[in-house]
Amino acid sequence: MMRYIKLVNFELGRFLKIYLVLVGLTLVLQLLGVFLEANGYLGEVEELVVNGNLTQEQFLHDYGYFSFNDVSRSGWFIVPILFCILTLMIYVFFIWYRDWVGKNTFAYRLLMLPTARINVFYAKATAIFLMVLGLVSLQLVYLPIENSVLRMMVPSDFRIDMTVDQILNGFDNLRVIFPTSLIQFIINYGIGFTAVFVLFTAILFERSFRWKGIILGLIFGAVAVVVFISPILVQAFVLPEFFYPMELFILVVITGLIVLAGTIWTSNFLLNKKIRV
Amino acid sequence: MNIKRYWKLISILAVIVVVLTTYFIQSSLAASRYPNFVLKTISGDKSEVENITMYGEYYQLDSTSSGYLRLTSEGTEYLQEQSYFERLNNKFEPSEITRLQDEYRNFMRSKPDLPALYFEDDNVVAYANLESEERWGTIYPEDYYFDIAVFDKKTNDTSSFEIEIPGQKDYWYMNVYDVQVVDGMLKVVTDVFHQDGETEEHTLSVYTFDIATQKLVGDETVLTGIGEESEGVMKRTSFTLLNDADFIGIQTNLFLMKEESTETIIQSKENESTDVDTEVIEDQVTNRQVYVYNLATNEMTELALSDEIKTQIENTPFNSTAFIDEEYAYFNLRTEENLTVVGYNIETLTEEMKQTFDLANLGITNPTIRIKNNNVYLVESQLEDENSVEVIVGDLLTGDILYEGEIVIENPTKEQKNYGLQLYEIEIK
Amino acid sequence: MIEVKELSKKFGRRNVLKGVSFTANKGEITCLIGINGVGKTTILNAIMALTPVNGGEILIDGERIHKGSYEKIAFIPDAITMLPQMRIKDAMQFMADFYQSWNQKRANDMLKFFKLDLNDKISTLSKGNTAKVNMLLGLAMDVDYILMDEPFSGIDIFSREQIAEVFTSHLVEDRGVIITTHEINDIEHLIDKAVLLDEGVVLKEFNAEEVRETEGKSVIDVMREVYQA
Repeated sequence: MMRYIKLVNFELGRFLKIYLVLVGLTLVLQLLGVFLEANGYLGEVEELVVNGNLTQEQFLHDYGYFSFNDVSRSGWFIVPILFCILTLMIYVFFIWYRDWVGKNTFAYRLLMLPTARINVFYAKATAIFLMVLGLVSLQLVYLPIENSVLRMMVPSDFRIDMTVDQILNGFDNLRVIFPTSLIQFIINYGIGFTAVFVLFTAILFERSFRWKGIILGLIFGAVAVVVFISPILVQAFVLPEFFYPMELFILVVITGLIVLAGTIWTSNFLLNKKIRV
Repeated sequence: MNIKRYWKLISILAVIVVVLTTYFIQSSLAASRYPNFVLKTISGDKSEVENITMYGEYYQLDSTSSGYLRLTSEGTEYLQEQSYFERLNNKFEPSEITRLQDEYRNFMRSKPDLPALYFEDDNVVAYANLESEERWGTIYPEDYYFDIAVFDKKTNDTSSFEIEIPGQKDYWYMNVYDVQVVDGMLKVVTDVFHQDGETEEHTLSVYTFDIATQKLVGDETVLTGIGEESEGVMKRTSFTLLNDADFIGIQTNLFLMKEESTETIIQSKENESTDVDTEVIEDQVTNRQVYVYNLATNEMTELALSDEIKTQIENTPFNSTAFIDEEYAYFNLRTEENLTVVGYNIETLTEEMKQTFDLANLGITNPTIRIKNNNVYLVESQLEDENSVEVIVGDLLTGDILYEGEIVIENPTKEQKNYGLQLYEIEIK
Repeated sequence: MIEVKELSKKFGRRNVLKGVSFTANKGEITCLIGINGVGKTTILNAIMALTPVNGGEILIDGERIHKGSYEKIAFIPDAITMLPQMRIKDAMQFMADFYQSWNQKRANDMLKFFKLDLNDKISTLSKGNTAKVNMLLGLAMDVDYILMDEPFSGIDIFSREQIAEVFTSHLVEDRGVIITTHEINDIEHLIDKAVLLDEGVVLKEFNAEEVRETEGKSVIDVMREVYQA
């Protein structure tokens, strides 16, 4: 257990620099977004209301109020989030390959630690989860900060104040990352983390059998997906509308746990019996 | 162990735990982001609307924010604000089907969500539907058969059987209108289209099954009509079951409307800029008749409509729902300004009641109409220019307006003032 | 005692090891000798369970390798197994964090002996110094067995001497050592036991001292006999 915790801390440390860049870049770009979007809006106010002949009421009727939605739907806001997602998705692979590739093959060291090898697997997974949840949490901290910058810039006559909840609900596609209900959050991230486990296992297949392993990994991934959604497939093709929603939910939770257990068992097997340095 | 060396792990864990806990606690305590619609009484007694439940959608015009709502005299609830499991269970808009699913969980498995296919009384829950199989090598695409299931409430037994429909070689479409059980006989009211040479024959048939022996024992043709095309004019016949299709209890008398209409292609020209033929089709109703069919006796009677009603039925857009309760079958007829409700005695089939409501005067333009307990309920189906929706309750026996109210947002915020509201279902308990 | 029994290993269709058996005792330096590509490294990897094998069994003090074995047996591969961005002290800290058998005092002694600087980054070290750090990380553990893969290849003459000196010191005394080499010259005088490998099999396993005394032959003499026969 102690060695697992040490490994998690170690894995976090190995990515810390890039992670801090992500954390900082997101805040900077999003604040810049608040600044530029608000300035653009205020520029129009200046031009049309102060210097032009529109009344404030006409302006608001034509151009609408300024709200955080104007910021959160701009590239300044979304691109850093997408960049973080992309970086972590790449790191899901790199967290393994960096130990095998290059002349300093750290994989030797990790596999020779006097602890169950599956702990290396758990530690890498935990590090990914913590980094994902960390970014999500920090975004939730950034939002009120960005919101108050917006409030400082745009006079209250021209803006609609939004709570963090309202901002998140205006996210559309990004809502999957920021669910506003706890259960939805657990479901989304449960599926996401199970997917990371499945990917890890596929990577271990590749690391164990190289070229042949890629095919085995793909098959493993496909089987995992089919098992996971099998209740839905049964519902759709074998017994139409047989299960009630709650039953289907429970069945999918069960198949999800089966997939999770399957990935752990398979990874444990590969790490102990098939892995190559 | 030197705690300081674990600062990476400890700090990231601390951020996650603190932020996420705060966030979820806060959002569970946060005020609703949706407006609270309330039913504000203008005149009349509030008790008149205590049994109304309205379903609809609210949307904000300057954003994509929208929500499905359930509105009663108590206030508004939103689908989006239900818990995950409440939403999963799909009981926001309870129906007879969801009630049957709760009470007869296994019987209702794999059965569709269409109340017209079900019947329930004190003894049984019955289900009948048309299923089909691909029929190869003919122009008629499918072989139809009845899929029937009857749950006996006394014994908790389910009997289910499938029966092929005899003589269906030229049937090309079938559809179930209603299911009833009369004296141990399952009656399935079915719409059938079949081809007879160039003409298309359309019949409304009642198939009778003996539940005990699981056999088809009768096949009554109730109404027939013809569809044919000549010289660009298409003649059609359609049948409408006026009884409330969502009602699954005993309805021995079926009120049926036969409508004959023509479709004329009056314009066909080539659009020069796009090279596309544009057709303008004109629909015209040529005849509408209302019949009453008694499922117990298999007797068919044409409903004696007064000349005034008959003209009106033929010339106005007809609201296809009749409201049938223990005493009366009600029809409602709309003109620009007025709503007329006519009530026929179910036993004697004579016109016993007629009330007209001046809609223009009541400030209502396009209401959803419901009739129950000799009251008519009118609810504007969508928000028009003003920021309120009218709700009217009228007494059909006296013609009096019992209640007048409007749906408004309670303490709207700045952004909530610019909104849309659509009410698509009104339920009277 | 490390017992390698009938070890076989395929890479694709190629049989690299076809039933290799030998033993290595505690307190002795056993040398696996063979040309490059004969499978010496594979044998060491197999002993450490770093590669799957197709047949045979490996026992360390009578038991198969398990997670606790890594406190008893250390492997020094031909490249350093630490992250390049680590300083030497980070690498030692890592070892101290994960291994109970890590002996910090011995590590410090060796650091002094090799004249290495704690604050040097591994990536900036010369080849020789990298090999020394690698050696240090393995030898500073209180383990019963040490496996070394080609400890002398590609290193300057002075580093080589320093490393060779280690073998005669108390650092190696009482432990079982397996080293591989394709070139015997430097270490002939150090080894107790030689295992000659070719084409996936053990051609001869013999005690160097015994052969010297009874037959008057050096290891190289035996190799000449065996390989050129």
